[in-house]
Amino acid sequence: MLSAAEVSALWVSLKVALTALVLMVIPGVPLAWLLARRSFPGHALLDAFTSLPLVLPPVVTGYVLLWLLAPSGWLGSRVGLDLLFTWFAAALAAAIVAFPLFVRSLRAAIENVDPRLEEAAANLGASPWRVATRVTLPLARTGLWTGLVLGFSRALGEFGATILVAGNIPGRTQTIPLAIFTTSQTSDLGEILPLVAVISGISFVAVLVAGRLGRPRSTGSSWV
Amino acid sequence: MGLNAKLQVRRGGFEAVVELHADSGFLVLYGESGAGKSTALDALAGTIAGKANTSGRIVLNQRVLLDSQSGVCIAPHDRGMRRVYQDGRLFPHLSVHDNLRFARGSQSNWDEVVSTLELGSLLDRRPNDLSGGERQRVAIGRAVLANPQALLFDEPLSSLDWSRRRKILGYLNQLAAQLSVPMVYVTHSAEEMFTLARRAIRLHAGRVVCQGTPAEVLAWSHSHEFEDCLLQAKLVERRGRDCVLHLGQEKLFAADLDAAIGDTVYLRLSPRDIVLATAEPEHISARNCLPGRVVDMIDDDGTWKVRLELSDGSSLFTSVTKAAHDDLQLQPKGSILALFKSMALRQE
Repeated sequence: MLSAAEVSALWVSLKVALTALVLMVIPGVPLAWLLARRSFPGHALLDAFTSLPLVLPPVVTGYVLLWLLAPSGWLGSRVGLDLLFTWFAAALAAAIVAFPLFVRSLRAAIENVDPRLEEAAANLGASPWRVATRVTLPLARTGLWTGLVLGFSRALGEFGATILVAGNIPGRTQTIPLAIFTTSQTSDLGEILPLVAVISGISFVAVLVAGRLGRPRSTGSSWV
Repeated sequence: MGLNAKLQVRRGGFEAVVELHADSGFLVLYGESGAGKSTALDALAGTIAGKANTSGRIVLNQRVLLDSQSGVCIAPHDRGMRRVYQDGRLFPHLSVHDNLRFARGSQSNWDEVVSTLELGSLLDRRPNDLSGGERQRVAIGRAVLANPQALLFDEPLSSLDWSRRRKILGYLNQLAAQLSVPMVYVTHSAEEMFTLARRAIRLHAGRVVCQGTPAEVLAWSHSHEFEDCLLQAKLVERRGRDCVLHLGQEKLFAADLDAAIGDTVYLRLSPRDIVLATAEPEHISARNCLPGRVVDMIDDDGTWKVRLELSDGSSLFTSVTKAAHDDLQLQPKGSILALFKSMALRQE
């Protein structure tokens, strides 16, 4: 069974990952649509910038966040809010690291939506907003679910950036990966097993659920 | 009131210049593929990428939708034009019911449209489970239920077989009687043009080359040899694959027609398949031998282009060599026989 500290790490992890999901989806959906459906100056730059956390070592991402959020940092000094070493900082770090996975998955799905259906919707009087919410996103839902699961799993497993900006405070910012790390430093490797099982189980269930939700309702591939 | 448009559209290396006026009822844009018909519809609907590619003026019911001089260009979703596509374009993630309800608005004519198009039994189905004809009926219903100020039809029946096409043409005529909006209908089928429209415009290579009644438009096409001869005949008898038709007083023989006894059928005939004779030949396999008279002849650099009129008033044209012309002693207004195989007649 899990110890009290481990249960608390589980709750912190879920709280951090779910919050990260929200932080990732709000800018991620419009950004994915923008990258898939609009051409504008700086498109390639924005695309590369979005993907940056995917290729940077998470520690570097954490360092940039640290520099931004510290009370004397660029953002911290302006907002006057000390977020460092809170669970919210961990969620922010997880969101940034998971962001490219979500955006890339959703973007690819949007690019696969037949633009002729969007044109047909516009010709029925649907505004661009209505076209996006009633046609494009529903047809891209498989990519949306895949992106959510990938993002959630990535957020759940986040380590490098989290430890820099949120520390490793049991009960407050210690997530499962951090707890596993701590336990592995101090105790017998066998004691890690329950935590490893829990995090693997959560990820596995997430993938299963997404596979079920993302499955197209009808089997035909034709869109007409 | 009505739809007035004067458009100049550039797409790739192609340029179309179209001027049209449509009141309520069907205006058919007729022409071969590549004539600029769909380009004209895209310009009306506002779905050609890049504003610079379309110039001119569109006024629908006194509302200016496009005026390149004063810089007005209303977005497609605000134009009030509803379009029916060749490929239906139903939303695959929505049921037929939700496709029909896609457009916002009162839809006060729901019951009427659903019953006219016989959509009642399809409402719970998904687009992927529909046949081609059912899909197009839903697509037509969806456009009609979207509070149209004008309707644009882009060859909506071209992928359907004869009997389905015939059925939907009937629905369209019923809808035209119920709706009082301008309807622009693009097709390359003479049958659709004759069935639907009182007025038609012939497009060729991006230009309006003729407008008037369907008969005038078709006659123009024939006199310029832009297309096959077209005969309108009534199926009276069927012996296996062989079909017998009435063309005015004359009998016409064709094969493998998809039509029922008593139906009017449109048949295409390539000018190349027509043989001219001045006396009825014997022992010949060609089953059709129709009397007519020569209307005019043009010496086109060594070959003679001959246009003839049959007893029912339909016209045929063909080319003969100078030697054949001399041997037959062809004269304007002279009597002539047109011979062709029954297999040469192709149903529209």
